[in-house]
Amino acid sequence: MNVVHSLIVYNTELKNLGQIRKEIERIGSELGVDEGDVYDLSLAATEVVTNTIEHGYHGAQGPIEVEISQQGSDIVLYVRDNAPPFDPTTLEDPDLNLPLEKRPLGGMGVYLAKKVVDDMRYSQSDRWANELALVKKSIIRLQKS
Amino acid sequence: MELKVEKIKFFITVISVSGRVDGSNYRELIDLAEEQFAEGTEKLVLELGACEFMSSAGMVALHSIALLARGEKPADTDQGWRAIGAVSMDKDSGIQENFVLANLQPQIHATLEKTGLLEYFKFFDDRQQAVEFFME
Repeated sequence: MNVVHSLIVYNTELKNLGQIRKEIERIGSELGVDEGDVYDLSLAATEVVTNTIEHGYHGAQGPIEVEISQQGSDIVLYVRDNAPPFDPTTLEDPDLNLPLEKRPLGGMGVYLAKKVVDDMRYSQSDRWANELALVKKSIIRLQKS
Repeated sequence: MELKVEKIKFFITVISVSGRVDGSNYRELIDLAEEQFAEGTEKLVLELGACEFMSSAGMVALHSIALLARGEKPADTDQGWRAIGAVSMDKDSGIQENFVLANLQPQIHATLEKTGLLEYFKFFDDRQQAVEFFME
């Protein structure tokens, strides 16, 4: 069963990042999620939303929806926007053995987000041009509905 | 994010960061460090004991400060790897001579590790050790 814990619509301002993290921390605490996992979710959300604001909307205004869902013992963060369609899961991971100057351009935030979640899925819908699901598995210790 | 500046000697400055560093505020950290170097700081300690959160934007800030410590202008900070990769920065470039990190929290240490940046910075367990490194 999918339980939606929070549904927030923001405009594209980076100052909203703190509010998103606070919401993740509040819900994480209610569900008994370890601090480390809460940090990872906050980091992934921060990176994805920052990317949407800076590279998706390129400074223009537009909606961003962040949904924090409980699916069994998993937490799934959905980040939705109507920026031009872009699937970040297709970005190749950088080769960290390469010298810094030879690493590919862009993609640092997405790479970090990918590294701290168990799964990252991209989709589109009639309402949203982009939907990214960030999944952290088996982290809920206190079930609540 | 809150930033506090402390001058230890005329050439050593400690910047203490508390709170969270992300895309909304990381430029403030770079600007403050740039100001210190412009005013004569030669050695900079970044005290991160009260820094609770650092995103990839914070990683870009660390890299930019390292460049400033080497007497170079930071690259354009808008593009993540692009900013970091814009200037060659290898382990032997002497980058740790003038800029060190102190009291790094485990989660931020992990982020540096995940982005492959760990080897480019020098770390100390606390602020005192970092300052003593520069006094030697």
